[in-house]
Amino acid sequence: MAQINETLLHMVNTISSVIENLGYDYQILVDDPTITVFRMAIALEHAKTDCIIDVRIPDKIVAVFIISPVSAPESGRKRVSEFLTMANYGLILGGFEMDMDDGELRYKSSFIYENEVGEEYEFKQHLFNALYTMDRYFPGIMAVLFTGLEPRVAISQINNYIDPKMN
Amino acid sequence: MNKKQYLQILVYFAQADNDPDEIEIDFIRQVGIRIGLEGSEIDEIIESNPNWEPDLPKSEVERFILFDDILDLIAVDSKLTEREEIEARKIAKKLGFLSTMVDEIFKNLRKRLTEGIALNKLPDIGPNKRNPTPYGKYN
Repeated sequence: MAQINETLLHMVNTISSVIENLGYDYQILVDDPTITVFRMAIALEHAKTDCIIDVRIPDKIVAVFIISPVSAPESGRKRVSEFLTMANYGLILGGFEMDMDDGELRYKSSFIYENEVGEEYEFKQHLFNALYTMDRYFPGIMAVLFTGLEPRVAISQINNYIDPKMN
Repeated sequence: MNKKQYLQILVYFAQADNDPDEIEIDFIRQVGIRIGLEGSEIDEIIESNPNWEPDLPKSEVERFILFDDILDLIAVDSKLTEREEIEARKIAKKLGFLSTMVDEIFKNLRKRLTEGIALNKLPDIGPNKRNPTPYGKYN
């Protein structure tokens, strides 16, 4: 138990250090001997999201979830699941998922950690990847759900999106 | 749509309540800087009085991005006036979004404004590090 606590404390301290260095406000949702869960509200360029960081002992897993601020209405769940499947194909560090019962949409990125140097860098990579991937695909999710846009067209629009600063 | 037209649309909506305050103007400036406009170009657009019908993006993805910027503009002063909400609903409809999306977004917006939930800002880590190159096929 002492080893578990030490390992958890080490990882939790690493994560706390990263998010404090970013200047972020956060809450601890769960603070058990084997699980710690952080919550932060993060304004992406195109969405206001909740970010959940779940640290689990003894699995030695850190999971980062970026929760979409808008859930999929029942009528759009099949169509958006097609969009998410297309988006997921090729994503490297994580993927989108949806609760088919309530329509909650989120991006998940997870990794197994050890007590090694480099954890801070590894965690930051997963955190930023998750945030930027949700930011990239969120407008497409909204377009599929609320304009009736075909998933394939939405993916194409995302891939071909040209930032106005380029014009 | 070019970057000037993009900012003109934001100005159009900032003037929807006939009284854009300093915070709203500052937000428009920030957006202008973000999209790469010069300070003088931003000033010219802000000082214009667009009584035209905005020229809207054709891509639905780009339309949502525009709508989200308008929502940011509305919420930047931590107030949500009836006029602003009416104008945002009008533009959402023009952009082709169902009212159910607007309902949920405004519900969340009001909740955030009421509760004063602190929003952390996404750090800019540079365009090349934002999304790793997707994996392709191997056969």
